[in-house]
Amino acid sequence: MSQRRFAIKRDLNLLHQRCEAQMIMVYEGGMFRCDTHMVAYSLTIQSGDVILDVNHTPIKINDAQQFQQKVHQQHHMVMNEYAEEYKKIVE
Amino acid sequence: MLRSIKKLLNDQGILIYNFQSHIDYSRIAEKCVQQCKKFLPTIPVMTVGQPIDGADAHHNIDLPATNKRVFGNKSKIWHNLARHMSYEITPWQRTIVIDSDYMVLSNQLEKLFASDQQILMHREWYDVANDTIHTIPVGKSDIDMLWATVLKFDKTSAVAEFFDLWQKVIANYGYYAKLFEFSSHVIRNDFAVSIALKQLMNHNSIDHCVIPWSICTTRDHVKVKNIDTNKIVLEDSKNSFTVNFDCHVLNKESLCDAIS
Repeated sequence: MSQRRFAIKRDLNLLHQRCEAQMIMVYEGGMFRCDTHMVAYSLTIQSGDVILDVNHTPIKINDAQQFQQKVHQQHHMVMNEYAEEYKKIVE
Repeated sequence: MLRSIKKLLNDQGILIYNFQSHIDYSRIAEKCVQQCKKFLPTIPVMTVGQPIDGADAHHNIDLPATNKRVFGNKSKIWHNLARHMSYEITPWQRTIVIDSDYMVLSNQLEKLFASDQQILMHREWYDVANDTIHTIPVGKSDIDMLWATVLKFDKTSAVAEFFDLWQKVIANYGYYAKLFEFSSHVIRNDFAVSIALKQLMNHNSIDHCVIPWSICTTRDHVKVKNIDTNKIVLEDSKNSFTVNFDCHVLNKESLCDAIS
């Protein structure tokens, strides 16, 4: 593998790792990974539902709409940053 | 009359230990404090051991018991045996203890302060140079090692018991070294906290105490070429590369040189 290709691959891996960490959001003391699964799952949650966080701790979602909004915001923020950084690396 | 809870809501902070050895740890700790102040400006920082400019508070303690560790290929004195006193030392209800060689380059630690878990530590480590994620067993046991590099804890009775167990494991380190078949030459806080937490949980799962992202760590052979507020430039035998998120640097000599 050429030096340039190796450097790109390494930088992309580092970026991926950083974004994985940034996907975590804290809500009502519980930690949630705002990945595609959670984005879809959050749409099914009703106010008052109890869901499990990443550490399998039950967390009551008092305001489902607010939770859904926060999950989407976090997901899109990380994805936008990923896209921006990705562009810089491969250019 | 209602008691004001304003202070309690902000009752959190970061503890950083600093003891001199053959490496100028004060320089590393000072950089660590600066990074915390830059990325976590609302969180107070307390240094323990030798004072550091820029920290909000300081707690004096005598040099802890001597430990030894191999740096490069030489065995040197290493003062790492005070962190189990953090529960008594911390003035806060919610504390994160970090190693001074853990370079904060984001506000990611705020998530640990926001979490209601009483104890949180890393289990998976991300090898920055090789793009691999590992867990390390404690000797030949089934216990996964937890990293004492970043430890979040609340002041509760369960956590007090955890610190008590941690002290007992260190006091009886030789016994545990034989039991779990690891070397007793260097006392590793990572092993001690892992055993203590497992005991606290009656040898049941400790999954709920694991930070849900990996600790980014550079191995000894990866040198720090340059460091500024927003990034660390690292170098290994293949090329140099930049890391711009929280990173645990094992090559302390090169870190120290890069800071100066």
